[in-house]
Amino acid sequence: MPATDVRVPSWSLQRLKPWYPSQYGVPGTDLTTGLRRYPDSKVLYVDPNATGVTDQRDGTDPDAPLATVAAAITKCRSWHGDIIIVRHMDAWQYAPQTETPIQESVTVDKHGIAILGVSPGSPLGPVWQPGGAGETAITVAALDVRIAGFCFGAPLGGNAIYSEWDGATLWGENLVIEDCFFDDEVDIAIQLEYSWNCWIRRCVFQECDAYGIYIDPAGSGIDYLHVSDCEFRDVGTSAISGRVLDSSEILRCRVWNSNAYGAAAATDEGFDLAGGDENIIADCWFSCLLPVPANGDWDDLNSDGAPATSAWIGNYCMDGLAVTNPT
Amino acid sequence: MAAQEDKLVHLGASAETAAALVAAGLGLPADIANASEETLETVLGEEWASLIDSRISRSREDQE
Repeated sequence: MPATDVRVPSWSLQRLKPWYPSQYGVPGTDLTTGLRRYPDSKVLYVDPNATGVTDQRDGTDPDAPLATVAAAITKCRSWHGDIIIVRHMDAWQYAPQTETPIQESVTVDKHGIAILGVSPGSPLGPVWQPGGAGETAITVAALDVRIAGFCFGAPLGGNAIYSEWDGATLWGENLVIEDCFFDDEVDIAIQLEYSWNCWIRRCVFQECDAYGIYIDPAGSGIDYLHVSDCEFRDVGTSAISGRVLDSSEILRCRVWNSNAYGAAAATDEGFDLAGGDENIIADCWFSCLLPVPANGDWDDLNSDGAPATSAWIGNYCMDGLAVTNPT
Repeated sequence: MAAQEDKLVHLGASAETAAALVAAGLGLPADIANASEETLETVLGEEWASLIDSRISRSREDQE
């Protein structure tokens, strides 16, 4: 989780002289620009709780951060390796809440940037809520964006992340979402619309009201999605709704569903891939029983296409290994 | 090839079909799903259904 495990290859860092003093005779060690992904990439800092914080500044000095992520995005450039760093705050729903969370609905329109919540001491990360009721916290309309280390909430109702590609004005594709936590106030945690090659890793979907990962069956469908090492806990309608999900992988995920555990009706509240093609679902665990048939069993909790064209391999129910595709 | 055309071809449409769809503003599978049969027939001819890969037309079938 974000506290210790935000993995950012070649993370560009602002070198601070007190931390990295120069070495006599070593050219370049006296520069303040430090280690960067590219020679001209920059790191922007966001902390709405910082003293005297404002958006009317450069934002590259951690001692003078920006107030909003939206302002930081405007200062990013596409494919320059720019990174937005958001500081943790005590806005978690069970925290003292003396500070404000990120309360913004932003659109990411710069390609190849990373937005990272940094929280040295928490598995959840900085809290991010949509700017208004029913809104979406982050709309991704650019390529190659990475979002990691946030705790998404929506006390007024709303969604966390939406990505769309239309090849004309919206380019949300190759999106990486890692080490994020979606709490029980969120309606739809992640929605993808024609966004291919997205990776969702090590996320926790904690009782989201509607969907953990949602692909609109009336939309344009998703190919090459990779979901791994995620936890879905009592997500309302479906942990993953992928009726137009093709050529994708769902690996090493855990699905807890109270209805299934209690042998109550849990129709497609797990992985609903009815209509999906050529997917691999492997090494996942489910709090249900093998096909009986009965309420809450493997076939009730999950669905696959008919005729089945996906491979469900090595998935475990509470009473053993499932060897059939769910129906 | 434009990005929308390229994706439609990747989903199984021929290059000619993809180009015709994009030129008619039907570059997304959702566009195709929401188009009327008359529109598709105008764009692709009477045998439009056979010209579209099943994965592209699936959402249309779901809606119907």
